[in-house]
This record gives sequence, structure tokens and C-alpha cells, in this order.
Amino acid sequence: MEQAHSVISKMRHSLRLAAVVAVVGLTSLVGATVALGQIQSASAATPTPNPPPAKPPASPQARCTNVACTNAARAARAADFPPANPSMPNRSTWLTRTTVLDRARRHAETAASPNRPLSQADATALPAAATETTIGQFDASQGIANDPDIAATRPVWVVTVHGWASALTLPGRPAIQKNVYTEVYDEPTGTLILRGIGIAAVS
Amino acid sequence: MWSAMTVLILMLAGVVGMGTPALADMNCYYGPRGHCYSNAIYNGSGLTGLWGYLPRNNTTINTGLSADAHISNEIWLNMDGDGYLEAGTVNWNDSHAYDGGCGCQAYDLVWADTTPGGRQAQQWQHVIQHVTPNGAKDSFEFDHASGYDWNVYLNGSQVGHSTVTGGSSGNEMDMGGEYASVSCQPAYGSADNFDDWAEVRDSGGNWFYPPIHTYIDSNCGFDGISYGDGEWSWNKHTP
Repeated sequence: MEQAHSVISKMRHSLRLAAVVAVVGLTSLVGATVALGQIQSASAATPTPNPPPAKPPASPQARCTNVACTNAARAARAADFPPANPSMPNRSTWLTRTTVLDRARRHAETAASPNRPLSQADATALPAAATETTIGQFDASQGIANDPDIAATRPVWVVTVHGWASALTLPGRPAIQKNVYTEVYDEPTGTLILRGIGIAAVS
Repeated sequence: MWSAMTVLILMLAGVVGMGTPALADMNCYYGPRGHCYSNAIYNGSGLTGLWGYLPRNNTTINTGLSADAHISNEIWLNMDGDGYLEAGTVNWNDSHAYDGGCGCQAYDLVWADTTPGGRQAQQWQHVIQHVTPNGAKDSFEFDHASGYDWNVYLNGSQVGHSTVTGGSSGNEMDMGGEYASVSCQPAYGSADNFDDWAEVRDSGGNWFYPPIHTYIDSNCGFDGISYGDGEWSWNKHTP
């Protein structure tokens, strides 16, 4: 009787073991399937292999050289860049000194890399000065060439801020961050035309 | 007892079976290097022109608005004197770009000229046009005029004239992406798949698609590949 009980006990133990092995095996299979799904998903998320692209239809040798083509490019620019459009809004809506100083100051960065934007309070405290002129006079004062699509008589605000600003940098070169910058805004529309990193134009 | 062990085994098996996601590359170059790049580069000499054919595609900063954050798709021409010209599509803080008042990130076509001087250099950033990432393609071109003067063209129409680079010829062409963010956030930049093209002009006036090598910072959040001379594809891989 005792021997029979022992045999039954061993059988129960074996059955339990077999059940665990079966469940673990099934779970591993499910896990592996899910993992495979992940791999497949990852592959799907990775950019699909691409064939080499075709060369562009245009090239420098064939670039726009006739008046109609040039005019189309200029018209497209004027439509999407207000200073290149001869028309001006009513004077009552022009950019004010207070507003332009505020906008220019808000473009300052903090001193050290990694850069972070200044708080509003810190930006407001930055030394800054603004003056009204024309884009033609400003370009001449800095010895830079005019934008051929913007009338030289276009009124602008020139703002110099003594705060930090970064340049767009050539790959592989050290980052350029200067503690003064000048911004030129189209006065009738408030559009930023030009930004000089390291330039102190207004004292 | 058996039930508890079974549950534990099942949990372990499940975890192992699910696998572990690949870790993101944490090699962020933002701090000491300032910016993150994925580019095609050509080193030459006596270059008198650069033409780039760049699409307006989606590029994203992903860190929100800030004074310094931007991602750009550009061409650069480095001068013998180490000043440089650049032009392309920049996605940056809208107010940084033109104060249109949308309070969002926005795309501009921009060209810039930088004086020689390394970290002491000055740079003029010229906003050309406000655009949307609609896939339209723009042709940018720098042509040497005389002395240190260079003409800048957008889609065949002159939009600028550079006088400050101190160079009468170029020695390096770069094409591709530049990314900067408010902090060293790994892999925060992102972009569509799209193709850039560029040709350079030698001292004899001959335009050609230049042979290139690649410069890819890890952890920009985007990369690229070149399929051939004068070509750079964002976020693509070989067949």
C-alpha cells in the first residue's frame, strides 16, 4: 500500500514536471514569436533600402537664364517674403521700437554650451539699442551687398543686442557663439531680413 | 509552492523571449562640438562655383522652441581663407526666423556668409523666403564673380551677393544636414527620406558631380548615404 502510494506520488511529480516543461516551452515559443515580431517591426521601422535616385533634371549648365524664368522665381519669392514685395501695409501697423527690441532680445542664448534659451526676465535685461534706417543705408554702413529683391529705400529697424548667439557652422568646425548680434527687421511687416552674428552695428 | 515556481518561470521565460530593445546611441556631439552633422563632403581646390538641388522635406528638431535650435538641409562652400558660404532650407524657431507670430517652428530658405577667423568669425544670415515642407525642390548656386565677391542664386534668380568670406576660390563642398538643439538630447532630430544633389565648378569653369566621402556624427537622429558622385540621401540605406 505504502509502495503504491509512493508510485502515485512519483507519477504526480512527473506530471507536474511535464506540465511545467510544456508551459515553459510554449511560453518561450510565444516569446520568441513576439521577439521575431519585434525584429520584423524594427526592420519595418528602419528606412527601406532604396535604389540610387535619378539625377536631377536641372543643372547649373541648364539653370534658368531667361527673363520669364527669373521673373517666376522672383514672383515666388515676393509672395513668400514680404520685404521682397513692393507693397507695404498701412503705417499704423508698422513695427514699433518697443516690439522690435523685445523680439531681438528674445533671440539671445545663454553663454555656455549647451545652449538654453534665456528666461523672459533675463532677456529683457540685456543691453540693446535700435535705430531706424533704410536697408540700403544699413548695407552700405556694414560694407555688405544689397539683396537685389529688396528696394534700397525699404525702411528697417536695426537692433543690436549684447547677448549670446550662435552661427550656422560648417561641418567639422568649432561652433561659433558670439556675445553680440545685430538683427535687421523690415519695419512695415516685422519680417526678419538679416542677422549678423558677432556684429555690433548700433551703440 | 509549485504554482509560485511556475509563475516565476513563466515570467522569466516571457521576459527572455520578448528580447531587449536596442539601446539608442548616446554619443551626443552637441556639447563640445556644438552641432550634429550628417553630410557628403568633397575636398578639392580652385572651386569657383557650387550648385545644390535640395528638396523642401520634413525635418524636425523635436525639442520645442528655443533661440538656438534648428535643423537644416544645406550646401556649404569653404573658402581658401577659411570663410564660407552656405545655403539651404532651415527649420527653426519661427520668431528666430522672421517673427511671423505663429509661435511655432517654421521653414525658411536661407543663405549665409561667414568671415575667416574660426571661433572669432562673424556671420551674416540672410533670410531668402518662407516655405513649407511640400517636397518642392530648390536650386541654390554660388558663383565666383571677382576678387572676394560671390553671387548667390535661388532657382536661377540672384538673391544675394557675398563680399565677406575673404576667399576667391573654394576647397571644400559639404552637403546634407546640420542639427542643434537646446540640450544634448540624443537622437532628437528626425527627417524624411529625400535626395540632395550638388555640382561644383573647377577653375577652368567646368561643372561636375564631385566624388565625395561621408561625415556622419552619430546620434543626430538622422543619417544618410551617398549613392554616387555629388549625391546625398537622407535616411536611406543601400539595397
